[in-house]
Amino acid sequence: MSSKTILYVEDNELNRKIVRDLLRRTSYRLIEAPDGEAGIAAACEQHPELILMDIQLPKVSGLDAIRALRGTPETAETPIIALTSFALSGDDQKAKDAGATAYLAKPFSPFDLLTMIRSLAPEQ
Amino acid sequence: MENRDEFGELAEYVNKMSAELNRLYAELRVLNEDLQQKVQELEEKSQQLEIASRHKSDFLASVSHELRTPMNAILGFNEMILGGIYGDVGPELKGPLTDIQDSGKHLLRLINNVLDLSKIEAGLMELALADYSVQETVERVKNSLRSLAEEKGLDFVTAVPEDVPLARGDAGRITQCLTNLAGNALKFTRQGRVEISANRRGDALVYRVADTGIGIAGDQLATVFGEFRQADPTIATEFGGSGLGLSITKKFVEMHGGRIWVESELGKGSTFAFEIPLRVEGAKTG
Repeated sequence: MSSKTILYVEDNELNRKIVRDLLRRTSYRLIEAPDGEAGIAAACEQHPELILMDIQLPKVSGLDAIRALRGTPETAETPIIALTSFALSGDDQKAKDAGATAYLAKPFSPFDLLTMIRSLAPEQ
Repeated sequence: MENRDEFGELAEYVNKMSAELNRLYAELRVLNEDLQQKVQELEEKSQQLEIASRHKSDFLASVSHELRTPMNAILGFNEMILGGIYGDVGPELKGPLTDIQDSGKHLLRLINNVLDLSKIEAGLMELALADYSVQETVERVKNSLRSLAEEKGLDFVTAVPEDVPLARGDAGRITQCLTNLAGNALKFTRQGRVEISANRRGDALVYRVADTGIGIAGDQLATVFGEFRQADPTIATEFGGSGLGLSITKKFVEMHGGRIWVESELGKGSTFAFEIPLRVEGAKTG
């Protein structure tokens, strides 16, 4: 019974720490990427079971990264949770249209995120 | 001879008219050049306005992002502490930590309200129109506020007929409006019930939030949707809030092409209602 890997693509260090701490006592293994490019590379190398994608990223935007992942055979089926900005209306729909499996608006409750993670990639 | 005089007169007349015409043509040319210059100035001004508007929009988005990021950390870490992620939390800490969480959430609501209002007043707010379920929307609002109702021991019910068809509008903003109205209703009601209902009225939808709360005095009803008012300044201390929520709710309702109103009796309760088209096709930018 191997643990599942979650990839979190987020440029803000504090936000990454929140998710790191959140998953400490779970069996999930967390890998982190600070931007879209690194995220896509990590996804292709490490084949995570679930990807958390922040929408507001520098350089390659979160939406573009999701589209790129959907266009790549290795990551086309991986569940992706888009972390959207509450401020931008239509962000949620754009995330869905880009291929996100689900979305959660920021600021989000860490426990809400954990529930969503568990529903898309159950710990075994 | 008569004929020669007539011809002479005619020739002189034609000459005069010709000179007059030339003069008018010259004037017209000058006016045209003037007009061209004015059009060019207007185009430049228009471009400048577009750039300024885009700057304003970028500024608002950036401020919004910057304000929310530390809030995310404050609320996120605090929620995890309360949830035992870092170890057991002694009973004496639960109270203060919960107070921090509540204050943080309140602050976030205020930030969201101020940012929304700024965006609306800058004319940069847009609706995200899509099909949505009225039943699901009302349920979602009820679920998000249920714990507040339970804490205060209030009945909290919804009433949406099953046959209300699929609607079209900005579900996110409509949820925001209903959450604002229902949140206020729960806040200003000491005992009794709050009901959220939605009914079809021809091409329109009427949403209502009715409470058995403290009510609003007749002479205050007219200003209740104003930005900085809360009906009675002494109430502000007991019930809290900056009064921005109602103003924003009114603007979102109007952006949907609807209208909002309130019926109330001091000491008996209030019903806030808004009517919007069942299906909004085009939207006004606010």
